[in-house]
Amino acid sequence: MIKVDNIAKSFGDVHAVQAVSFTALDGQITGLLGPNGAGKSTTIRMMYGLLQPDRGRVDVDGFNPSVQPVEARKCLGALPDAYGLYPRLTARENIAYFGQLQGMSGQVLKRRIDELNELLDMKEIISRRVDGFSQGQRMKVSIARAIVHDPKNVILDEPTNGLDVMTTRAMRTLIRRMKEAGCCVILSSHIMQEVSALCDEIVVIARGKVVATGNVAEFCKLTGEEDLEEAFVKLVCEDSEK
Amino acid sequence: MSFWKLIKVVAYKELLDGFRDRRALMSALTFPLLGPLMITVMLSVISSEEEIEGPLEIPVVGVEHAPNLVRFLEEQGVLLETPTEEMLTDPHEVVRRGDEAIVVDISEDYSADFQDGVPATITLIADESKRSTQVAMSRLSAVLGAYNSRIGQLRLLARGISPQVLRPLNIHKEDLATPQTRASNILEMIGMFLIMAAFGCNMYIAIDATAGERERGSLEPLLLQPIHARVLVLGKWLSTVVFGLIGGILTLFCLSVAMHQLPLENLGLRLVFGVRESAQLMFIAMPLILFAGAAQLLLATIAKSFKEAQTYLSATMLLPMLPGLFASMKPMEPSIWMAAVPALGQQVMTSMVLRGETVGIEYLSISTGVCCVLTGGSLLIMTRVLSSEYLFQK
Repeated sequence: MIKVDNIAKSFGDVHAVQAVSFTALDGQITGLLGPNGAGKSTTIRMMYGLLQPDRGRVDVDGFNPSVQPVEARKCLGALPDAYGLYPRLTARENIAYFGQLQGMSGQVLKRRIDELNELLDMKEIISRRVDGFSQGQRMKVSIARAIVHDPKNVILDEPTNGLDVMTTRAMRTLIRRMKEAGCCVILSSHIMQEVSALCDEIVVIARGKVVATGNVAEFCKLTGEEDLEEAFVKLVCEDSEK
Repeated sequence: MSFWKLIKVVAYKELLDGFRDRRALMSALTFPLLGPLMITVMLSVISSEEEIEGPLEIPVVGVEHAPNLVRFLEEQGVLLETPTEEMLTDPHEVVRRGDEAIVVDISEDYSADFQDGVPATITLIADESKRSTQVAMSRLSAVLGAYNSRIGQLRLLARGISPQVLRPLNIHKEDLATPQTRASNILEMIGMFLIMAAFGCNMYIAIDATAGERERGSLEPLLLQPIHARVLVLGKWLSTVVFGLIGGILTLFCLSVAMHQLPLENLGLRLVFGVRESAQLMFIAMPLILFAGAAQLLLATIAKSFKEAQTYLSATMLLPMLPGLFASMKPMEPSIWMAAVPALGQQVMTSMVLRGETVGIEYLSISTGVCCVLTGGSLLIMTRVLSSEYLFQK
């Protein structure tokens, strides 16, 4: 479970995040929805503990990432905005490196990588060097690397960005399976359809603030719109008019 | 997993990555080969110019005017060549073209002047801007000087005067230069190449592990792992140290092989450069290798991009070469403050070892101490940078 309590973050004069609060429950997919530059990535970086909030606090399974980053990160799997791989290492070596840094080794690590290999259908690329992989292949390796330690909480920052239809579907299947396994999944996106198709709870962020929390039906009722996209536009724009 | 095991994981990954990186390998191998190659080329150029051995072969114009002088020259081992037609008419042109180093012209009046006891003229035509000509010229001058004084002595004796009158001074030259001290220019260069290797061989891997990691976008996922930043810093640093060590050892190996191949004795040089000296040099260079890796990692971490890091690190490579360049032009007197300057201290100590002198323990400990403190400082700052928000501020 991840709790975000009224966090704020400024870079000089830029108030990237002003007031964001939400709770992401276990066995649920929580969507962070917002236009580009709304503060999603900054919020997520505070959840990792890479950035320290100016105010408020984050709680990951009882750990504050700002104070206990190591403990918080042990129960966190993350696919950040930038998910670069090591081009001269093979897919397996890339995944194994992060597994080892998570404290795994030997047969346990090997079995887990084989499992992920099966799950993400990477048989053809697992022993190849990453250099020259397609976007979709890179994404598979990155996601495998992020969840190699089988974390209870998973944060995915725009995970389907730039993927083709097949890979996107595979990714969605994986996300649902993680939910079924009882994980707390947080998904950030600026794509309405994706969020509405996957998420149990949606947190709409605009201009560094949470403007609405709920599910698709609630948003439509709140705004009086039939269509989710219209509802989203209305939610985001209403905020800017204030 | 324990702290050290995690460090090993990071170092192993960086080394694997480094050894698969052709650019990193190339830069690690270039420096060890560059030094010995340059020294070999320089020394063989010098030795080809300094052919001290071998007879002097000199064309002489007008041999018929001075049969006694000619006999004396032949006795002294000078081979007299018969001049060509052109040498008789225009000897200057022959020398200017470089066909002959020296042409001796005995004047037509030589015989008459000699009989009359007035100075008889011999002209030596040469271009002394060439080093080989200088050597030949001084040898020829010495032979002619000997003839000059012998005739002078005979003339004085003929007049009943002791030749001692013309020697108010008895000048003794005692040259204390040993072949080893004469080699000092080359010594300074060996130190310089060793320092270059310390900074050059690990440069690429240092950039790749920091600025490269950022540029590829793999730094953020890496920092999300549940390990303290000092694990990453130490692991990455160890991998640069391994590359630096390989570079240092290769450099010393290539240098010692080159030194044993070169005809140093013919040049009047002698270097003590065996396994024992190599080990000592490695021991001296070690702290510098530690420091070079740490400093380069720190700079490349702070740099905004791969290219920027490359610019910084190329500049840092030139700085440690400065003392070496100065020293090879004008050997410096080692003083204690030099020990406190990284690279300069190592330069001085390298020369000491190769000259066969003992390196003072306080000199060694000051130099090593300074390097270690700076290494620790750099690594600490780098840890701070990686665990701060610096890299993620917009």
